[in-house]
Amino acid sequence: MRLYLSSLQGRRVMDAKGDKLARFVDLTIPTGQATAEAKHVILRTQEGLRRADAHRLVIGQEGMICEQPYDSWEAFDDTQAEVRLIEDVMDKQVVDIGNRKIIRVNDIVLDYTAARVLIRAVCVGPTSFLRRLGGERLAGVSRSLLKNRETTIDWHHVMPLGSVHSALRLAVPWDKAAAFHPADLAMLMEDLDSQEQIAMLSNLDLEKAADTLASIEEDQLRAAILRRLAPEKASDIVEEMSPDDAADFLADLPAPDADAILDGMEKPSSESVRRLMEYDERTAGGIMTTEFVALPPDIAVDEAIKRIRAIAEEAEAIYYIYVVDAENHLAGVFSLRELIVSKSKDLLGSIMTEPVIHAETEWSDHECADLMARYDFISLPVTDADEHLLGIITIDDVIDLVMERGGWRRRAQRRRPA
Amino acid sequence: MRRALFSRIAIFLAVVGPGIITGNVDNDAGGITTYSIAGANYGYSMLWVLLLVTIALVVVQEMSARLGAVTGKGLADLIRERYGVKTAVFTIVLLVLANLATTISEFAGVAAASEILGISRYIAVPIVALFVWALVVRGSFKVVERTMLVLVLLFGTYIISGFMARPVWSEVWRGLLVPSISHDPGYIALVIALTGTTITPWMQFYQQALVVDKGLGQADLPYIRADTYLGAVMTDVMSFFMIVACGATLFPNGIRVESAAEAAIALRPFAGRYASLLFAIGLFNASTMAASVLPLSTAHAVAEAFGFESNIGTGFRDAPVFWGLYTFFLAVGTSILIFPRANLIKVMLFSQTVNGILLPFILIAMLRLVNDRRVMGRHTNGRVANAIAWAQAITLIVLTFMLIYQTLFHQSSI
Repeated sequence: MRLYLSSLQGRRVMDAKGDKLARFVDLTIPTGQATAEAKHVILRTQEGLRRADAHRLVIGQEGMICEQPYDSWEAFDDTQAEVRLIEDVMDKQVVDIGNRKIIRVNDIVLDYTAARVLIRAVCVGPTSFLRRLGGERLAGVSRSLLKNRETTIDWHHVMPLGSVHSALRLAVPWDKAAAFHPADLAMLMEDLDSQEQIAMLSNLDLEKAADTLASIEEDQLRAAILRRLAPEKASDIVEEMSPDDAADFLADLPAPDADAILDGMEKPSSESVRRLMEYDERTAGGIMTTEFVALPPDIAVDEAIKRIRAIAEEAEAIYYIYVVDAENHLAGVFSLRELIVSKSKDLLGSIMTEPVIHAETEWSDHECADLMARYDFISLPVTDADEHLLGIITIDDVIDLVMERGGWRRRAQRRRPA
Repeated sequence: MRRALFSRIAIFLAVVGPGIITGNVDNDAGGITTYSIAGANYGYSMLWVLLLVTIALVVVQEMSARLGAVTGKGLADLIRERYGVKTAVFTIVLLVLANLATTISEFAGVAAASEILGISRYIAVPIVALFVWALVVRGSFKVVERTMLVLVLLFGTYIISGFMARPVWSEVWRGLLVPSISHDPGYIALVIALTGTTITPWMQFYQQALVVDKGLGQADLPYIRADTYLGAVMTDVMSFFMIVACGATLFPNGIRVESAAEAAIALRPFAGRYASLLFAIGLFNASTMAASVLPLSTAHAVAEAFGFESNIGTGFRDAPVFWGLYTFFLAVGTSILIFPRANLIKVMLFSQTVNGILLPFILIAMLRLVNDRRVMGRHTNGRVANAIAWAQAITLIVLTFMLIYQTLFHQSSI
């Protein structure tokens, strides 16, 4: 027999003798097991909440009978590690990762056969919502008027995220969800409640968490999440970010909070972030990253390739390699392509291009975007007034500005056939 | 020590906002009307009520801010999760009706105030509607919040008009600190109206939503409290000066008023042209703020309870229900331009009544939520706080029922 959990809520339950009266409160399932069978039924008696074995529950047309003798009903308290269907699942949210939506559980479909109560699916969508509001009549209206068939998600696909009582569930197994692109995860995060955001982020590995956080569009939200994370966790995640992103994000936090996160980071990375934070965020200094490749002019091509291989992991962009003299003055630039097609014994000083077009730390981000758009650069070196190389701006830091400037949207539309 | 102080101030400045904005928006067109009538008709004798209402306001708003900070969810969201579909629908339907009626009265406030300032309502109302629509639809959360915080400063106009009215301060203090109860039915009706206009359901939804949107958490609770106290105190200081301005000038001369706009005009011969203008500017500003906040707060609550997208930071295409509702509210608000005046008073009475029906449910739901360990963890109410909160909830509930009775059976109440 297929039935809705909401139809049992608050209904009468008699004991086997038919003289003790209780009301149906909830069903539970054990945690941590891949089962769909209800374990206990929670009942409200005159003496408080009790629980009985779910398989002793007989559900009939006229009402419910609990065949377990009243004396053996145990006292129920909330600390028992079982998931409660009405308390923990009904009316709570489910993240439908496949469709990138957050939906609410309106009802739960049960299957009652041979004295076993199995959980089949959760109901989402307007039909089940209207059934809760006004019974089958309203649900019927929804079916005929909105042409909405009952939308359900199979119970096996509904996974808790975080603690057992966490209000958030996922419509796919977590390991599959964790494989999603950070930009998709970020989009989902934006719709979650604050506790759930923390739960979701804590379940990701650090690198993924950092990428997800960096992909969140709204500065305000990102700052809020960073502040709510435990400081050590926040430090670990920020350390995984590129220093320019980290500096941007930390600048949105109140100074004491940003300091606490920086203090928890490894010295070298926290120092470069601190240095970047000193620049105005609308200037070249504010958007540049300190992760770039710079080499001296007097080494040979094969030596250069060896060194690049060693540091490629850390650097944000290796397509352009900058040449600096002993005092870190920007002397020249060559591309990875130029490097590879050169003879292995050539010195870098002989293959590099000079002078190098560059920005200074105080230049505005718009000026930098203009330069990069004009010369089709994918990265632009940034120096101080004395031409010491301090960082580079990569195209992703200014892409929004370049698009604005070039009227990219307009052009894209014009190209579309009429 | 010094450093600790500075870092605390830095965090406070980052957290501040929800309480101050919600508190100040509370002094909306309806509020100003009530305070003006209180001052004009009963002098300073109602100031002590204001003091008690401030305490009640602080207790209620602190609970909603705490709910937001601890759970990260809005009030509508929590009501849906704890009490199910039927309760949520019931609450939201009443909230929508009440807020829609209140929004209309805010636009009526804009119209009245702009006319005192010499601007036609047919120009002012559409411009205000467009301004608030653009502010929220085009602006980010930060822009909205900052604009609001700047607009809050304009409430200072009431303090200035209060001083310009040259009150006798000793009488003012006596009115504030010595309770006096009159058996005049009009007086009692006004006490109830004053309570009802100061503590309204949309405020709990709105402040909690702001706290959540700002992403504040448990660690911010001390600052959130400070923000809430500051907001409530600021609000009622403004209300205090409104009552003082009218009480010092209109009351001794026996001039009775029926609306905030009338009060602004009546102030002119006694407190001077500027006091009157400042009063009107205050009304204009208050109505504009409330007219942008109410539609926003309502759309938020609806989206949340029924599981639509609700983030203010997302665009129109991502959240059609949210923005559609928001726009609808503003459109209905502008429709006051074609309303005759008599119907407007009915709209105000209607909003008062629906708010009155809704408030008990909200207060009880909040008190139960805030005492639920599964929801609040260790941040439930203490025993003393609970005693105060329940006593107060019951008082408020009794008062609002009296208000509903008054509005339904004695049209003269306000």
